[in-house]
Amino acid sequence: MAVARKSDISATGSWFRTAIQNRRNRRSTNLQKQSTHQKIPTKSVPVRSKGNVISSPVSVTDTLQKRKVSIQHHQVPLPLEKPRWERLVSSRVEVTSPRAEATTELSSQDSLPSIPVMPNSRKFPSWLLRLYAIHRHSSVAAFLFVTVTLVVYGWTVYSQQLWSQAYRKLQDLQHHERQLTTINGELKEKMAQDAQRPAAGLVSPTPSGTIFLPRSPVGLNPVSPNTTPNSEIQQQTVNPVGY
Amino acid sequence: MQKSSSRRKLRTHTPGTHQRGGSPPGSDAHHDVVLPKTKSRVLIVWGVLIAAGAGLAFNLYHLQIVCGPKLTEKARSQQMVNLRPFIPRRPVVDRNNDVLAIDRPVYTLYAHPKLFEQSNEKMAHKLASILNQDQSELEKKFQSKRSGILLSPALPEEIADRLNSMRLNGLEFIQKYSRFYPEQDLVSEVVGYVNIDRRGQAGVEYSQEKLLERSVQTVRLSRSGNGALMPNYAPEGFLHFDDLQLQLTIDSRLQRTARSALKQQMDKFSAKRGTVIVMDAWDGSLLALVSQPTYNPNDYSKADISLFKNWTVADLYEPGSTFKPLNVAIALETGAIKPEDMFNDPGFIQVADRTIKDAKGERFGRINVAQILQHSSNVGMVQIIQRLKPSVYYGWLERLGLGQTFDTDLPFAVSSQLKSQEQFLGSPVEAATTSFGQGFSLTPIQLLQMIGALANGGKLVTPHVVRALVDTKGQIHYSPTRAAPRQIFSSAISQKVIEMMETVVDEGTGKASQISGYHIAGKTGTAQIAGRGGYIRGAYITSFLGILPAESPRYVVLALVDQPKGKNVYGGTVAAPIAKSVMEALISIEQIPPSRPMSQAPE
Repeated sequence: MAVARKSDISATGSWFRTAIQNRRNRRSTNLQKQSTHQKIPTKSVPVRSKGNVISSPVSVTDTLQKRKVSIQHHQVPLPLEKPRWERLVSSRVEVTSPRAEATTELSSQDSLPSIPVMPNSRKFPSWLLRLYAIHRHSSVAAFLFVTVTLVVYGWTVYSQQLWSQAYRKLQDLQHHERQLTTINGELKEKMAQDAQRPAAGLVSPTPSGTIFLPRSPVGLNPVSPNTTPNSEIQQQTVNPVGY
Repeated sequence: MQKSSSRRKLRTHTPGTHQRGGSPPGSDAHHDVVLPKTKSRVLIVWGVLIAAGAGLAFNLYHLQIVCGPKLTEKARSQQMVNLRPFIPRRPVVDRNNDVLAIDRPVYTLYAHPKLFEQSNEKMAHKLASILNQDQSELEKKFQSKRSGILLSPALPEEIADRLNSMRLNGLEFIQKYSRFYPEQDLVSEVVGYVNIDRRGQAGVEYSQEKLLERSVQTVRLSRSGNGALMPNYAPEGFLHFDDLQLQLTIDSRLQRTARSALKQQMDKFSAKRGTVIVMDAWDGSLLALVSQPTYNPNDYSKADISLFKNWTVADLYEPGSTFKPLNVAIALETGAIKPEDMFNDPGFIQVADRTIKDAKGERFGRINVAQILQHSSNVGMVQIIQRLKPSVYYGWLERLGLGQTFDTDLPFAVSSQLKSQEQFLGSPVEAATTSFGQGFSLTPIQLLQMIGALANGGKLVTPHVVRALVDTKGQIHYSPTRAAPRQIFSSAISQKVIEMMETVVDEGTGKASQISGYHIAGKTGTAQIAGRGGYIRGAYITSFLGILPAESPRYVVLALVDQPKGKNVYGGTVAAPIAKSVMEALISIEQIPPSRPMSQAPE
C-alpha cells in the first residue's frame, strides 16, 4: 500500500512515516529471525566498511541506531538489490549521524527525484491492489453503516422519549377535558337552580311571551297562519319556521 | 501494550550499550541476557490478559446464558408497570348534549403520620383547609394511629391535584373511578346510578350496561429510569378508545320544568307521589320522565331504596277516565257507534247487580260522544261499550297490549294486568267497569303508549329514552333497533277522537290546561285506587293526558299525582295545571307555532 501512495504523493510527511513504519516492521521481524545468533547481517557490512562516523550503524541489537539509519534510507524498500542499496548508503554516509536527523530529512527530500520509486509498484500483484481497493471502499462503507446504525439507534431511543412525553401530554389533556365537562355540567346545574329561585326574578319562557313570525307568503295564495285551514297548519307544524 | 513494554525495556538498556563503545559482540551478549526475560514478561502479561479475557467471557456466559432468563425477568419486573389506563364508562348526555352522567377519577386519601416530615399540627393545619375538615380533629386522628388513617374515601381530582402539588410526604392517594351526575336528581329516574362496583343498578345505567361499558384492559408498559412510560410492549390500539356517548331523548330543560311544576303541585296537595311523562308520539321517544320523590344518584346510599325502581314503568295503577278516549276509539273503530250518536245519561246505570254512577253524582241527560268525554260520563261510556260484543271488546283490549309484556328500554318494566277472558266474559260488570278505566291495571308509561296511538294516526310505538350512541361530533354510531310500530286504529278514527278530546280542554273538565293560541286535546282522570278487597276510600290517582298540537298531534303529556289530599282533588284541578306548564315549556323548546289567534283563545 505504501507503494501506491508513494506514486501519488511523493515526498510528503505521511508518505515518509508510512515508509518508515513499513520497513521497521519488516526489518525487525527479519532481524529477529536472523540476527539473534548471526552477529551482523551481510547487508550491514558495506555500511560498516565505508562508514567512518557511525561505529555500528546497522547493528542488530542497537535498534535505535538501526531506526535512525532506516530513516535515512526512507525511500528504499527492503527488497532492494544490493548494488543500489550500497550506492544509496554510500551517498549518505557523511550525514548519517544520529544527531543530524533534520538535515538528513532535508537532504533526502532533495534527492527524491533521483530515486526510482515507481518501478517498485509493478511488483505488487493486481489482486493485492484490488483487495486493497476493496478494503478502502469497505471501510468507508463500514463507517457509513456504523454512523447510520448509531443514528437509527439514537432515533429509536429518542422517539421513545418523545412518545412518553406525548403520552404524558395526552393524559394531561384528557384530565383537563374531564374537568372541563364536569365543571361545565356543575355550573349549568348551579345556574338552573339559581334561576329557579323566586328571588332570581327569572321566569320560564311561555308561548305568550314568544314571538312567532308568520311564514312568508308562498305562491299565489299568501295566507297568514292565523287563518289557514287545518291541513295547512299541519304542514307548518311539521317544520316550524321559527319564532 | 505488550509491544510498548518491551520497547520501554529496550530503550532503558540502549544508552548503556551505546556508551560502552558500540562493539557488536558486546551488544550481542547483552541481547542474549535480556530477551528471555522479556519473553517471560511478555508471556506473563499475555497470560494475565488472556486470563482476564477468559474471565470476562465466562462471566458473560454466566450472565447471558446461565442466569439470563432470571435476570431478564427481574429487569422486566422492575421496568414494567401494570397500567390500567383510565377507560371510563361512556358518558350519558341528553338530546342537547348536556352531560347527565360522566366518569371521573376520585382518590381515596390515606395519611401515614410516621412518614410526615412536619409536625402533626402543621400537617393538620395544611390539610384542614383543603379537605374542609376540622384541624383539631385531624390532629387527633394523626395522633391515634401511626399509619393508614383514612382521611377521605372519595377525593375529587382537583383537590387531589392541589394536595399533590404541595409535595407533602406521608399522604397516599389511591385512584378509583366514580360516576358523577352533574344534574344531581334531575334525571335520576331515567339515568339511574352506578354502585361502588361500577355496575349500573337502576335506570339506563342498568338497562344499557352493554352500551355504556368499555372493556378495561390492563396494559403492561415499560418504564424508564425517570418514571416516564415507554411505548415498547404497548399493545396495538392502546390509546385509541372511542369517544362515543349514550344520547338520551330526554330534554333536561323540559325535565326541569316538569319537575318543578310537579313538585309545586304535589306540595300544594301534599300528594304521595307524582309523575310527568312527555312523549313524542311519532317515534315514541320520551322527552321528559319525572317521578317525584326522587333521589340524588351522587348520594345513592342515602336514598330510600324504594325510589330506585322507576314506578312509572314498574308500578301498576287503574287509569280511570284517562282510558275513556281509547274505549271511544275502539267503539268507533268497530263501528259500534258513530261520532254523532246521542246517549242518555240519567246519572246512573244498572249493570247486572251493580249500579254505576257518575263521579260527582251529576246527570248529563242527552249527550253525544264528545260530551261523554267532556263530562267524563261513566254512564255514557258503559252505554257505548254495551254496544260492543264483550268478546270483541276483550280482543281489542288485548290488541292494545293489555295483559302483555311491555317493551321499553327502561329497566324493571312490568306487564299490565287484565282479567282472564273467562272472567271478563263471565260478568257484564267487567266490560262496564273497564269502559271507564277501572278493573284492570297498567303502568303510566303504557297508558302513554296507547294514547300515543291516538296522536300518531293509530300506531303503537315503543316508548324509549335511548336515542343512540353518538360520537363527540354528533354522528350516530349505533341506534337500538325497536319493534316496528303496530297499527291499531285508523288515522281518521284517531283524529276524530283527538278532536273530541280537544273539546274536553275547550269546554270540559280539562279547562285548566288551556293555552292561549293553541289547540290542546286532553282528558282528565280521577281514578280510585284498588286496595285489598276493594277500592280505598278517599284515595285517588288524579291524572291528565294532554296532546298537542291538536290539529297535528305529536306530543303526549301525562301528568299523574297519586293521592293528593284536600277538597276538590280531581284530574282537572291537580294534574291539568302541571300538564299546562309542561306544555308551555314544550312549546317554547320545540318552537311550536300557535295555530289560532291568541285573542280568540277561550279563557
